[in-house]
Amino acid sequence: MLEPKQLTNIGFDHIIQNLQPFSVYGDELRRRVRPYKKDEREKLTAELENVKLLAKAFERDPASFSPLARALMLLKDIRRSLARSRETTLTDIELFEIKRFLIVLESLAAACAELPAARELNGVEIFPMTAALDIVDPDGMRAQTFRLPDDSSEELARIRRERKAADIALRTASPDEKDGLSAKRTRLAALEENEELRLRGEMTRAFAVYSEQLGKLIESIARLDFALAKARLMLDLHGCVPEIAEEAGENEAKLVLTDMVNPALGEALREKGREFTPVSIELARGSTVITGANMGGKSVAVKTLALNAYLAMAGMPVFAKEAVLPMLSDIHLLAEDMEDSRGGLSSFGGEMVRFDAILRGCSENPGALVLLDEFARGTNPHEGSALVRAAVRYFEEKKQAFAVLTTHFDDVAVLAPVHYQVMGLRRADESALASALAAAEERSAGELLSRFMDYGLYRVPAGVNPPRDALRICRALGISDGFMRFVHE
Amino acid sequence: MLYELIQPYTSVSTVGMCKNAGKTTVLNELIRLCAEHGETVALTSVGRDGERSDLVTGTKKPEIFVYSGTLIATAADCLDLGDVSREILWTSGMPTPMGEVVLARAWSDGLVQLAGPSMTAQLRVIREKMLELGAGRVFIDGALSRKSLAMPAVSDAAILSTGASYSRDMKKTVNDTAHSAALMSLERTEREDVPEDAEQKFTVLCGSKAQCFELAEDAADALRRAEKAAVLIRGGVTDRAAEAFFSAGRALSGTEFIAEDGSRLLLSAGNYEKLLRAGSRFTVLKTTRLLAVTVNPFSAYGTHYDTDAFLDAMRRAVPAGVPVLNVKTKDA
Repeated sequence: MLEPKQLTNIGFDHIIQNLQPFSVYGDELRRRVRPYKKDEREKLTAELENVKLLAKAFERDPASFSPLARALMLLKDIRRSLARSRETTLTDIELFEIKRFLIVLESLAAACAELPAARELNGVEIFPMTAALDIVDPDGMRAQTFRLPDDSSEELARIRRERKAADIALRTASPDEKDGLSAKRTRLAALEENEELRLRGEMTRAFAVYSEQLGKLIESIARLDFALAKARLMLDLHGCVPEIAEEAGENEAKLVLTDMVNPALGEALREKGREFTPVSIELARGSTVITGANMGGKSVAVKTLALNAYLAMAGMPVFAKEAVLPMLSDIHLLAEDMEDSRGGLSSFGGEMVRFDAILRGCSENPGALVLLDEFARGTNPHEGSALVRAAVRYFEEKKQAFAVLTTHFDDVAVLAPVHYQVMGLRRADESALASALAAAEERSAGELLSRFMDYGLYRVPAGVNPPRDALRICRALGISDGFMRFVHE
Repeated sequence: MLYELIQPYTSVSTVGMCKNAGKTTVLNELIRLCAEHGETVALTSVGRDGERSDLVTGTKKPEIFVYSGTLIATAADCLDLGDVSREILWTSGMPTPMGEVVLARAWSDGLVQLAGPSMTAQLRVIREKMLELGAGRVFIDGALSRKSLAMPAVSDAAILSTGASYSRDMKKTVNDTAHSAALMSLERTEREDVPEDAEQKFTVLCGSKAQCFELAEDAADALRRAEKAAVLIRGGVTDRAAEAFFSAGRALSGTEFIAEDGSRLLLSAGNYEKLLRAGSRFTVLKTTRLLAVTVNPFSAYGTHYDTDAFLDAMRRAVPAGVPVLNVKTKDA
């Protein structure tokens, strides 16, 4: 599966950081988010259905969620005290937190009851626990504070009465009387502490009966809150809930992502005054090749694909118009800008070692998504090209994985049944580009060039070779004529 | 007299020059006086200092005596070291080494141990919460170091305690106390061109010009070429910065150094005096009102001072208008 560094690189961390659950419980799920395993399709689809339900309801009437949000924000983490309630006597601070929690739970449950969407969610059941609340709030006042009432026991009432009398006596006592009264005060304080401890013990044991049920309820709250956070983010960033296809034969399985974007990269582009060009791709088991000019956005397409596939497997919304994916057994990404030279191997050596691990992973767990960005770029073009061609043929023949290879080697695309191209400068108006570049400062030429690029992915018939834009780009960038003459010779 | 002094202020902090300076005596006296006048007070302290480190091991007994109705903000573990009967009102979510800071109401008279939050922003939240819950006045048991002198950000006024335990040399005690008192009594700057959002460490204001610097050396350089300038210093004013400013030489005459508040002046008394002698002066953005200096002529280490001589020397050394009191005697 993708490594932490790769998750940052493809923009997954950006998504996770933008998720904002209201409660500590939802936030814990956010921090722990991970892809569902291949045999957890039911769990994954249940989660995605929840996101869909909540998104629909939230979009229709966001204000109706305010009471729920307010209650969620007020919840504190009481799980440690729940566990402790089964082992020992809780402190008054812990009982205070539990009482507050149960009071908030009453309003949370009421808020859920008002929301039809919340009632339909899979695996989410939120209800008030009034019997438990009555135990930690014996006088039923529902005050947002905690103190054992005087009438908790006759003994406590008696001690507190005596203590009050001692306090008053001590305030007006003469210096001679003070020592005796102080000692009495200290003794009464100890007695009160002991009696409170005994009463808290009784209270804790009565409450502990509900602790497991409350623990399960907290899991429900976490699921609701986290799914709601996903739904809100999806609406904010115009994503959609992916459809997870049922198990299909290796020839039928399809992965379709239409008009995907990558929010992290999109944001970076917007800061430069540009827009992210949505990319669409349809993959079958076997090999798919993406070709395209330098600077053309092949790597961006791969990262965007990796991100959205990972999001779908993690039960998150994807950032696309439409998405249909099978359960993926794994997602592998091999890309130059994410390599490190571990173990003293050259970058090429490192790449091949990792590639071998991917091959092994694919035969052990069929049904993975394999993304190879400019595979074998680090060696000479002749052998590099041979390696890429071999990889294309290997994945196509084995049909173990959805393999995507980007390359600008010639003669590779012809081997793959599916071939996409990043359009690049192909459709750009040459004269407009030339005059714009002539007017531009040297330093901003690259920036300007990118505005004439078409970053869209287009499916092309098998057998078409990658565009040869390198020389055009050199010309457009105004690389010195003297040098360019040598190139043409 | 103490009660009259604190009358106009909603939050008052107590600061000590050292252990056994009588800070706790002052605090207890303030609590007693307010109780006599029927006031509901609230108490907290600034984090944890040397004095409080003993209480984790339980070697130090709580010694602040409160009356029924008092609000107390202290770390959860410290709550159990006291013996008041209590009601838990609020948990702050602010962690300390002794547990989360908890707000409780005393339902009896008794002893409490204070260990509040250590960050100014947190103290401010606690103070507001206590006022919201009905406290008429908030006392903040300050730390034992100049580093958090009176914290103008959280308290309107302060009382400084000093005593024979500070040094065997009474002259040193008097001088150092007077220096602290002077820092706590600095006036607010009268300049109106002080930028509120200066991000860099030093801002040199001269005429209508404002130049920002990260390094004291660069600021001193700019100062040398300026006249009647002011230097706004964000955060602590250290000896290192002071020594860099000496290089501005004669340009120091007439220069106004503006600190955020008196507690940020961390430089030694010697360097402070040296800058004053060079003709510069110190002001602050936020002032504290130093209400009184209290003295304790008895030392925990055996070298007591002569009460009258100490009081007399202290009275002559502190800024004008600041009363010097002996809390153990009646004039408190």
